Order: sequence, then C-alpha cells, then structure tokens
Amino acid sequence: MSQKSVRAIGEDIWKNKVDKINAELFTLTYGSIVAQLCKDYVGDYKRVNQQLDLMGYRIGLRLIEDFLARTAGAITRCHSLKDSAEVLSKVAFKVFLNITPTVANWTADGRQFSLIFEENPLAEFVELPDDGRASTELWYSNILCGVVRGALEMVQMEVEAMFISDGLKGDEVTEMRIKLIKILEDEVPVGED
Amino acid sequence: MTVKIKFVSIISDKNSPLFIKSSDTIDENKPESEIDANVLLEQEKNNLLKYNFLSHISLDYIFTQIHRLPDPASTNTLSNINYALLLVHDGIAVYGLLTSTNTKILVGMDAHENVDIDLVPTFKALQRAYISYVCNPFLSLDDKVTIQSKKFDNSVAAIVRGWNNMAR
Repeated sequence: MSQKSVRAIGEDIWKNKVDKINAELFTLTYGSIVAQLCKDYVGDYKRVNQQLDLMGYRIGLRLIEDFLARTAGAITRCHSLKDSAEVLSKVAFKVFLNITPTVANWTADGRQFSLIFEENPLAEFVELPDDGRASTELWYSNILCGVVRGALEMVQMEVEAMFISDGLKGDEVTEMRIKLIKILEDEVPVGED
Repeated sequence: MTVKIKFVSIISDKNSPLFIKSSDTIDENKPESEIDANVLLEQEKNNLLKYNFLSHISLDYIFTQIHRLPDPASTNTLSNINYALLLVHDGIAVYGLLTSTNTKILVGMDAHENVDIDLVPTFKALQRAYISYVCNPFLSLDDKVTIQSKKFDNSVAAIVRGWNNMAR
C-alpha cells in the first residue's frame, strides 16, 4: 500500500462512512472525565494517567472491531510495523478523530516509532491546573495511548505506548512513542526482516 | 485622530468583577528610566481604580440601555450581537455587551464626538476569548474567583493591541 493511497482511503472513509458529532461536545466530555479523575484522585496524577490508560485500553479492545468493519475491503493486511504505523496514523486516527498524526523517529531496528500530533482535538481550550505538579506529571491525552495499545493487541501486536511530550505542558510538539514488544502469534512473520 | 481602547472588563452574572485590564499595562512604548517607574506604577494603579469605578457605574446603565435596543434578528442581520454606548465620563466612553448568560463585557475608549466606531468584531473576539477560557475543564466555576488565566490575558491584550494599532 503506497502512502498516498492509505491517506486517500482514510479520507474517503471519513467523508462517507462516519457519523460525526459536535467537536465541542466531545472535547468538553473528555475534559470533564479528566477533571473528575483529578478530583477523585486528589492530585495523584500518576494514578490519573494509569486510569486514563486503562480506560483507553478497554476502548481500544472494542474499537478495533469497529475499525476493521469500516475498513473491510479497503485496506489489506499489514506486513510490517511500518505498514501498521501508516494505517494507524492515516486511516485509524483519521476515521475516529479526523486527524493524521505524522509517523516519525523510527529506530534502526524498526521496532519503535513516534506519532507526532499537530493538533489534538481532546485538548482544545484546556489549560492544565496551576498547582505545579500537573504540568509535569499529567499526560492529558493518555487515553489515546491506551486505545492504541488495546487495539493493536487485538491484532496480535503487543505494544507499549506513551506520550513523551505534550503541547499542553509547554512542549513544542505532542509526541506519542510506540514500541513493539512482541508479536503475539506466529502465523504471519511481521516486521523483523 | 485615534480612538484607543483604554480598558476591558468582564463582569459576571452576579455582578462580581471577573477581569479588568487597562491598556496602560499593554502599551509597550513606555520609557525604561528608573525615575519614571514609580510614577508609572502610581498612574497605573490610579487608572485601574478609575476603570473599576467606571465599570461599576456602567452596570447600572446596562439593563436599561440594552433592553431598549431593537431585536437583532429584525434589523441588522450581520451583527447578531448588540452592544451599546453606556456612558461617557471623564473623557472615556464605555461600551457594553450583555450576553444571554448575563455576563457583561465592557470596553472603555477615548470619547470623541461624531466618531463612527464598529466594535462588533472586537466584542465578538472578546466573547470568543472568554468562551475558550470558560471551556477549560479544570476551571472551578465559583463566581467569586477572578480570571487568572495567562492565556486569556494574552488574548485580550492581543485584541486590544490589534485595535489600537489600526490607524483610524
């Protein structure tokens, strides 16, 4: 699958086969989830991050089914982590969030890469609370890491996903690092040529 | 003749002040000499106090003035927000906007006769800045709290600077 065609597939599905909801409603809903978690865990932002990741994981396990159903016939099986990364960024994120993060920073062995987010619809209007720790400890969009992890696990890839920089914290870019731990079944050898 | 914005203030629906910013703190053309610094600080404080008082006085006029305005849907369809000149005092004209949530946005500028000023885009921009401030999910909606956000501060400063830099 060439790069251009993957992008076109994503655009096409987004335009035609996806019901859309209001962006502010979505942003405010996610914002209230995070704010409530912060209140419940009384400022223990590590637990908030963990909880967001767990929620995302459960979402990812289910979301992959929806994704595969929507893209059935349009995309072929991925033969390498590089293919998966392309589909993830240009079709999956496009179809569900209407964004296409850039795939970058591959390691030499091809088992790790980054997704760089130019825009993050989850974090519109958000300003992290001013208590000193939030801006160093809280990964606001951590639910996305969980979603990626859960979804990829259902297609036989065990990965670790985490944010390494976030625009909300004052960094220049929002970057998620994805590491392939192992392939879960031996049916199709993937990614290690 | 330039008509500059002197201050912007936001008052909550319970009439408690949320935000007052005077353009003296935005103006970047002040001399840096030490002797002037204290004088400037006094001036700034006095101005802020004056603008505070003006905002309070304007509150009385808001309901009477704005309720008298014609229904926007029937007259000018382009401007769907209504603002009105509330009062002129001490060379400063105060314009106000009353939102449907009873939040008031006040803009004070130099008073001049026969000047036709369109503040609709300015009020719209201020309202949008306020909306993006309110949508912050970490904000506690206690209305005794004044607006502390740097982002909001910067956006208001940018709006005022934009207006003041336009040649009129």
